[in-house]
Amino acid sequence: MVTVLAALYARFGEVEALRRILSGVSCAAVGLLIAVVVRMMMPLLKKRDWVGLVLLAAVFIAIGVLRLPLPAVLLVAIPLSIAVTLAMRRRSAA
Amino acid sequence: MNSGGNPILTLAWTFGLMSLFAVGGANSAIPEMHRVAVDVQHWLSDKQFADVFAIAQMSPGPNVLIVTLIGYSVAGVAGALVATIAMCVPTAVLAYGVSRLLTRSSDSRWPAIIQTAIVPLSIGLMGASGLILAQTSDRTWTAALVTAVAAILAATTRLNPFWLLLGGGFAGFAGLIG
Repeated sequence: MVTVLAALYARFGEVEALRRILSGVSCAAVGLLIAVVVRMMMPLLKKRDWVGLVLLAAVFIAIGVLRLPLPAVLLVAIPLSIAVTLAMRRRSAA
Repeated sequence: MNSGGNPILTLAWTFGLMSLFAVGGANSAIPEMHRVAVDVQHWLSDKQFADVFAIAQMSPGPNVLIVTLIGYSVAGVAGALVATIAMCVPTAVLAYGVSRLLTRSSDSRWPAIIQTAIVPLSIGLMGASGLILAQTSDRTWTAALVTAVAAILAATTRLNPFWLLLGGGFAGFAGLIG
């Protein structure tokens, strides 16, 4: 199915009307993605999970704004996030 | 990762590695795909990247389809197959291994801890995807408006996303996007 679409795109990608339709669809698709992000953030905002929100913002800036390579960012962020999560649990348990 | 080498091998290596870091699914890896495919390897232009994202979102099936499309535009059907397999197999093996490890370990707190730790990172990655795609797609203020309207409708109503994509397509066809 997708390979057919891809073949069509390769052949007709330059056709003016299709190009216009696709640019409209991609604008809407970006909107959908943003809506998913907002929905996923809601639980963190409701719980006032500041640590999670700071980590979220840090990853967002590192990847989205600074355009750092993904493996490098995650090799720092995942251990850091696990360590912070553990520390928070210890503190709330104590 | 030399761009002078065999493109099929580069595809396999690039997406195989990327799949291990796609925390939260293919949509989290979009900034990395864009960085590699557009900025590093020059496989696609910014515009083509926005197009393959749109096609992948429109098509029924998982979001990982964007990888199939990038592979196709680099090296045809073989490229599409290799890129898709490279994106799915290593991560499936990793997930299997990790889940075996977690169910075997006597300490049952770990799954919850890892999940709590990963969720904010994954949302941050998806947010970065949204930003980068908005930069590639929204080149005019009407385009940005379509994105904003779609985002608001999708976040506040239960409207089927298909209608929003269709609406975007109509707006584009009518020449509103520019």
